[in-house]
Amino acid sequence: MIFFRPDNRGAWPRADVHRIHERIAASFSRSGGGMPRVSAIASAGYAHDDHLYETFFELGPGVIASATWDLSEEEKEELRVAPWNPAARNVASVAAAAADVARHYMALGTDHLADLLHDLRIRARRRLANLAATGGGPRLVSLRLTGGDWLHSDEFKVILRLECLDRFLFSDIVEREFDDLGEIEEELDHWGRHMAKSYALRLALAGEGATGTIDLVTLNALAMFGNVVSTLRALDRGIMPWGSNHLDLFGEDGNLWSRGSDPASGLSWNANSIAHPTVLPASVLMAYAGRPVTDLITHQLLTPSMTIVEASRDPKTGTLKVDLEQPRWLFCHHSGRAWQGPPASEFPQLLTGRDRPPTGDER
Amino acid sequence: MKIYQLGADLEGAPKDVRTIHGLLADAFRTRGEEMPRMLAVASCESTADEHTYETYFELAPGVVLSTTFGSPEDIEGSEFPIWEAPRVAEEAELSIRSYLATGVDRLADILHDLRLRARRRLAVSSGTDGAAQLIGIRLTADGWHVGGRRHVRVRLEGLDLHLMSAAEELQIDDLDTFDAQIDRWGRTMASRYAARRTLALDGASGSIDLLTLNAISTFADPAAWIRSLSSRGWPSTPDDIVVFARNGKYRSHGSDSTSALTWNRDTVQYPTFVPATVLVACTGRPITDLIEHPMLSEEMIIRGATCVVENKEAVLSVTIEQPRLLFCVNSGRIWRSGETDGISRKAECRSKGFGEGPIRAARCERITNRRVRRGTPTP
Repeated sequence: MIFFRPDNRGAWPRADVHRIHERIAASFSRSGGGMPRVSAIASAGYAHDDHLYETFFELGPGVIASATWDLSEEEKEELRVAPWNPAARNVASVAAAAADVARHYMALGTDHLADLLHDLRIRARRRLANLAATGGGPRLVSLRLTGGDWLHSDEFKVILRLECLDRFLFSDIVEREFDDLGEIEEELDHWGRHMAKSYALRLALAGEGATGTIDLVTLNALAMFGNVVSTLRALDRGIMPWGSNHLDLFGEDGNLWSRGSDPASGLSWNANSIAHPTVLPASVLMAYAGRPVTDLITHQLLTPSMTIVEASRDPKTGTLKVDLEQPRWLFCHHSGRAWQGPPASEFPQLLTGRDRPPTGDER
Repeated sequence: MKIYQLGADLEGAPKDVRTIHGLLADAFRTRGEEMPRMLAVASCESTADEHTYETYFELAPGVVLSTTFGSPEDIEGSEFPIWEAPRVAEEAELSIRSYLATGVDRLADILHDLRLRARRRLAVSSGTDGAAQLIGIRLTADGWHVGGRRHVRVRLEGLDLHLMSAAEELQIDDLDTFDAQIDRWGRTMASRYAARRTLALDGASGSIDLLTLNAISTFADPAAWIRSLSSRGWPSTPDDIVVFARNGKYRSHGSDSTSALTWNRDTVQYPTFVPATVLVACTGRPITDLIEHPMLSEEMIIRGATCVVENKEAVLSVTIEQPRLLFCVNSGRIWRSGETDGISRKAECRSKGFGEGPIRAARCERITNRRVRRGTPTP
């Protein structure tokens, strides 16, 4: 979203947001009520299929209400004529929805809302402060009322803006929406505990001088099919680097993992599971549990430090399927260097790849 | 500071950036060498006597060098003076060559080692649960120190004096002091994070002493003033009142509009004569017994008082103990530490029959069930 604010003379920097403001003002003057200050209007940008606007009202001291609204279907139809020109946008429905949300909250009484939000802020700060002993950890940035068409319901909602870590443990800010205020504390506790784990993980990694971990299979695959240094260095807040044509990268809890295949040998992998077109009797496979994977398959991606948890035959094709326990290497995303961490026995949570289900679709 | 991130083709870069880039590329090309990639150019808004210009180069993966060029010229506006471009390019080239002489692999090793050390030290010694973070380390050169010695700039994520998240840079000119400087910064952050937690446990985002609050009340609405506090800048105060923050504690020094009353934190001075016998007896009593002034309240208790007569002018100097109030920067509300909720809120709630304590589920439901009436768009 791009934020627009009026200049000192009250003029808005873009024609469409200026018109939204004008229409809101007109709507309030018709109804004869005082108009709340519009502090900002955010627009999703110029993208052809993105017409979302968020209008921010300041109803009272610390009482911010935002209205999120899309253009109506007819207005979108009009846009086909001049998709890139914000000046040509008909924004009547956005302005009407924004004015409605503002009126709705004003009707509840701004003093009352100020009390309510103040109380919520205090509760949220306390809850989150209780989670971390040193003051690090997730934090409330701000809190506002909101309304719009997200859920096709127009209930009383608040958005909490929270400082936290993303899946690669970069500092991030997320917004969480609540329509039941009674749930906020419980939800914050739940979310905060999950976040506290991420902070602990980041601390443990920093103790090793690292910023993340990478599955050894993934590291080997990047070395074989792509470029380890440039891939690791491309990691950034909200950015998942591209691996190569042969593998897709995924990440969670500071760990980089992948799925992919080597067309030359027919080997394919998904996180900790490996499939290989070898056919062996099931009775033989039983005996391999606990042994290095290299005893069973010889391949560039596999090393003796990867241990077989279970080897089995795919019931459909009869080919080999192996579940692995593989080491994770530490890396620094500034230099793109990866190195072997301390033995997994000293650092179990961080360095063994068995703490998540073998499939995942969060990209 | 304006930063121009450069794409591979310098598309959209301002003229001065393209000029500097062209000069450098020529200098390297004439020697048959390849120029390191120019990543970004940061141009500081020029002040009356200073205009600095920082150019970023990537010597190797993860090895970034920034060279700073300060122009002594008196320049109006934020436009970079194009006639300085050859000097910027020359200095940049010198710095690059000085570092390249070390060998990029060696530099990569040094920086990698420093990053690991910084992360480890912050993780172990700062006591912030890893909240104080390394963002990055780059090499620096400012034209004076090049040749043999290495300087780095460490970018760190921590809290500023308002206890708001902020990025900060440490310039380290002597790598032998690297660990010590990181540790010192880490300890500062530890105290700030601890202060923020203590405040958050009270639901607050900062605290302010009563005298400062009274002083702000003389020229602004304190709630509005507090709400405009941000890491980007300070809300305005009259010239004779200075409000400052340390670890989220807001205090002040200054004088009132007639310059009669002056204060500095817990010390108040006022031009009046009070006999020594009275001064001895007033310890533990409200300051308002001695001085009547709109900035002073009964809750400010005298801890010590002296009266000095100089050039026939008497000055009463009083040290006070004053309440520290908590505030929320989002709402601008102020309440007393130790009280569980905002006093203003409590008072308002009672007058509306809102009930005390946390908002109860029934109340939330009532609000939840109110719907926005969605009217048809007005023409």
